[in-house]
Amino acid sequence: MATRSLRGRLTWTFAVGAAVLSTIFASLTYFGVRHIVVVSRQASDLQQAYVNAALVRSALSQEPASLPSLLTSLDAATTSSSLVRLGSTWIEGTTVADPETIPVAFRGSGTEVIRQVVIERNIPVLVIAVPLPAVRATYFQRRELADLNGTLNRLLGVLALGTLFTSGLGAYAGRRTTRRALAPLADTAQAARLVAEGDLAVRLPSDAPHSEVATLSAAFNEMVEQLVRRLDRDARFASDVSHELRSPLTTLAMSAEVLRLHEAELHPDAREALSLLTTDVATFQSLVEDLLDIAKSDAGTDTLVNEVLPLNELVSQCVLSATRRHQLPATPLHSELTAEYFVSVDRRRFERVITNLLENAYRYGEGQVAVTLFANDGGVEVAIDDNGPGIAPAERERVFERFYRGSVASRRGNAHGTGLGLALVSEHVKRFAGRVTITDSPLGGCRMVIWLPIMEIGAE
Amino acid sequence: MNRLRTPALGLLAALLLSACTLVPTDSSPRTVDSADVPSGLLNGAGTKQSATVSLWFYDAEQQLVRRSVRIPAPVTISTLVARLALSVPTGLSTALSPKIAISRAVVRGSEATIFITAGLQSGTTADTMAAMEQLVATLRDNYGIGTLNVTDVAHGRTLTIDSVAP
Repeated sequence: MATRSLRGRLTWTFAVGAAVLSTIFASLTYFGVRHIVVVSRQASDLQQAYVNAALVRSALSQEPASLPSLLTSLDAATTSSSLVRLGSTWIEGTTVADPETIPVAFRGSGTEVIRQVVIERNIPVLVIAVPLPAVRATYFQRRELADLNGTLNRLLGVLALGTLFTSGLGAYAGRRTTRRALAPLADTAQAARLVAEGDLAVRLPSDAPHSEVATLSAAFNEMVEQLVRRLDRDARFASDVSHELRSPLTTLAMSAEVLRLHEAELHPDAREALSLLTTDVATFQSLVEDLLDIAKSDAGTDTLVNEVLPLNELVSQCVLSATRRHQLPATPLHSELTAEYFVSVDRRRFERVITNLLENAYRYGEGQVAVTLFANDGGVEVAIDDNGPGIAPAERERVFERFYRGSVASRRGNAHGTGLGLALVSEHVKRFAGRVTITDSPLGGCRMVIWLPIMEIGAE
Repeated sequence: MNRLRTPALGLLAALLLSACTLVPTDSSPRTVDSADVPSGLLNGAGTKQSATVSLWFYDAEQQLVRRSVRIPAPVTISTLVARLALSVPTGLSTALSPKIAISRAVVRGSEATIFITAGLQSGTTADTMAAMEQLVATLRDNYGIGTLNVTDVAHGRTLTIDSVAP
């Protein structure tokens, strides 16, 4: 059975509760009314039988010949059937009655008034026998209770409809009540979603200071405040550390460059040490630059300089620049675009994005990298393919987290990656109103896809 | 939730089941307390012990003639038939056999049906018709019968005769 939502369960509980209560009340009403109606009818019929029996006794003692006509007139007046038994002689009032319809238990020579409700042809019939010892006769009265059955049937129908209506009303009331009661929960869930997506300005209203909801709102808001303070602190720390490291790193890099100019004069061991120093200083510089970029982005102190640029030309220039600057192999660029599309990006950051993705593709691939442009989903896509081992589906979101190193990077023991490259890519692309995803590449490795919205010329 | 659903369904089922017998029936007859029966209906004292009835017999010319006699109450058809067959006044005769036996008689308005188990076919057809005329004349006077059905239980036959005003 599928798990119902909290609101669904509460609504169901309201409906079932209403059904149970209304069924109980309907049952009590039905059985109470039935008892009253049946007892009242039987008492009334019994009184009528006494009156008729007295008339029959009088007729039998004074003028027996008048008995058939008396019974006929009694039946016509009371809508019942009357019979009189005198020994083996049965005298009836109408053709409706028949001695055979009198229950066997009634046919004995009793000395007490007896009555019984029996079913004849699916109709309840009340049979009353009144012995008349003075004339050695017995008076029988049969009264069909079909009308009573009909009344009870209608009552049952009305009560059943009432029960259904009440259950529906309960469900409706439950749905309305729970919607109001659970609205703060829905608001909280929505706010939590926004916070998770990076909107740290969202807060919950707390206009009812003493309610349980206000307590929840206050706790949520306090949690977000704490989160913001911690993020700010972390960003400030990263920014400060990066700043402090930048100058000595530059000095180190320049010193290493000076040493490289005199490399030929160095001892072979010193040359090797210089080579290691140069590589590590470059990596360190790259890490510090990445950290600074992220810290600025987190603190919102970096300034985007977005321009509307033709995608084909932009990507072509970025690929060329990245390959030259970082001494990467020549990378083929293929466009499947049928028209010229424009995107709004900060050129410097977009070049950083392309550079990071190309570096990753060459670092973790087997040397075959390709860049392809597509039009898709109302935007344009830049796909960077490699023929490396690819990225497992379970890791395709986590690789965009800061300092996350995928299983492939860990296995290879690659020391050049900073763990911030893809995080920066994701941050920058988001700020271009785009998104970056990972799929399988037709080259056998992974495909990094940057999706960007298409801009009309003149719009930004 | 199941804890709530079960009694709800049980109650609903009980309500629906009760619809099968809307008016509750009795498994056996119920006795009414004699103290609750009015008008002294169950008393035997203070009522007549005999009644005057008209009986029809045949005279010497085979014409039906009426005789009034007083007999013990209650006056039943069996009593009247027994009187007609067995208590014939002097100078008169009866067409009914002394062996006649009635199992049941039903009077329905102005029509009576008599179930005879023996003694009806003792003579000729004319004798049978004479007996039926005697019977219907007697029942007409005492019960206002206009039509008489005589069912011969042994032979499964029914004869019908209408009374003629004297």
